[in-house]
Amino acid sequence: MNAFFKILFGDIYNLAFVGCVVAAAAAMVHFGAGREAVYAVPALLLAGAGWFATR
Amino acid sequence: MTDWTIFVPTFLAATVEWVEAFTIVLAVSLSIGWPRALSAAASALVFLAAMTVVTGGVLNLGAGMTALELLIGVLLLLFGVRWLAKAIARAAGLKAFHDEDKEFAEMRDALGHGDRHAAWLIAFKGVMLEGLEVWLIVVALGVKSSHPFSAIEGALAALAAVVLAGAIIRAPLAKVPENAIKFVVGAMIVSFGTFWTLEALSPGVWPAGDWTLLLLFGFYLMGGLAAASVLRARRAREALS
Repeated sequence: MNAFFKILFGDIYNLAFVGCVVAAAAAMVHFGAGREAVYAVPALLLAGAGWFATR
Repeated sequence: MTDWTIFVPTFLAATVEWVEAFTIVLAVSLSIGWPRALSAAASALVFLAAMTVVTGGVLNLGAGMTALELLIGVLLLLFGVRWLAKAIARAAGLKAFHDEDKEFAEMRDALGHGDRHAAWLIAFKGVMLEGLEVWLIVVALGVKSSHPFSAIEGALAALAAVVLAGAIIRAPLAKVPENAIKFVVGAMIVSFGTFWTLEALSPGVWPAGDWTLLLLFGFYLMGGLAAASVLRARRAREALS
């Protein structure tokens, strides 16, 4: 079961990172910055992938 | 009709996973024979097929719902970010490349000390765990596509290609450029995840519509390669100092 959850969600860092990015995207959309979110979210995700690569 | 934007990422992702599963089944087959090893693999594949039908059917009931789009988008992000990060780390030399020959030798060594029942379970579990990632991609991409069977076709075509190559070569498929495929698939999966997550949060937010997927793919692929290059250079500098 552990392996199943790990495949689905990754580790706690991965889960927290993606959760934060989605929360930030939701906040930006909520406060009327949806157009900015389309640039900010991919940049954040790529930066995150780069950071995870060093871990 | 096949939706190639769904077929290609599923085919590539499934190829990587089936190659790893094949290595395990091949190692087990040398210990307990082909019929038993194949029965373990087939049992795992039947289980995965049932999971795909059930979860795909349940998710299809809610197809078109914004919440479903968000759920699938987030799942793809959780999965894609890891694949992209792994591909960047390997390309930067921070993580060893997946070596099918080494994996095979280690598996053979481990199986030498186990019993036949344990070997069957190893083959079953190996195919099951590798297949879970295929299941996730098939279900996530299939549900959002107007041609849901394209994802299944992609996974089955990859399985057929790996089985055929394995039957011809009769050795671990070590020459498959796994990291290059992982780079492409990671970029594709994160692109789909980004697109659907933001589309669910704010419908019509993407200025270029569906074409945005292509732009996102280019961004993640080129950005990932650039990140790998920067990390490789930093590693070289640190080694010199």
